[in-house]
Amino acid sequence: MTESLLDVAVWPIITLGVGFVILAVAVVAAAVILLVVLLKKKQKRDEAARRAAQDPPGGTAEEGAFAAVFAPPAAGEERGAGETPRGARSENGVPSAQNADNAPGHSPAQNAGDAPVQNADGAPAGPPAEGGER
Amino acid sequence: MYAAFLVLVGLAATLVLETLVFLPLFCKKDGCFIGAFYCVNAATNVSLNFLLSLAMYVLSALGCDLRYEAPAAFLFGCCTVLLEVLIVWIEYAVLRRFHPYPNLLGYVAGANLLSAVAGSALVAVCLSLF
Repeated sequence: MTESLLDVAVWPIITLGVGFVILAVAVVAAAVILLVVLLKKKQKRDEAARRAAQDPPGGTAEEGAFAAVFAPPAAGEERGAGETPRGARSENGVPSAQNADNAPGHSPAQNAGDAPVQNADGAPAGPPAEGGER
Repeated sequence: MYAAFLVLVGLAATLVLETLVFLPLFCKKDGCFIGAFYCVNAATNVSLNFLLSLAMYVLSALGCDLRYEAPAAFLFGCCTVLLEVLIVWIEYAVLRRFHPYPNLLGYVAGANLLSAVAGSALVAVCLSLF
């Protein structure tokens, strides 16, 4: 009588209880493991983003240093004392003569001292008069 | 089997309800944060339901029926609220590590409050029906 009651009532309850516990523990363990994996993935992503922000563009640090030294200055970048960027206008509204292609500082012939460089209209190259138009 | 079914249904309902609350944060499309949200919610919800089921099983084994024993029901409710507060703090602490959104604690607390109210209503309906 006792054995039959155990067989009928107790063992299914124990089996279901153990199954329920196993199910709950499995769900919680899977969730925690996935959480740890996600956390490590995020840490790696943050580390990569931080490294990319620290390194200069152009790949390695050596390439970045080479580009920083030998690359031509970008538009609007500071060139030197008394100069304005190419295409920019000076204070009086006249385009910068030093940066024009026929300007003395940019002409190889004039820099060599052979002959003065002429503009297209035949006038000698050089900066225009203050506030005047040619 | 019935308890396992209830736990899984409760888990699904909780995830759906809390997703509704977290939708403004999910719109930012942070995959790690979304995955962490579901993982930590699954872990905390299953743990809480398991603890409550175990407590109810122990109480029923001791001959105490929560529907008719007011002090035991009150104690049970207080423990449930305290566990919910603990869960809110755990979820906030975990999710903050993934992305510290502003008002994240409010989102977590609101989502858990909605889930707890819905779960309590579901349990009340089940107890009245069965």
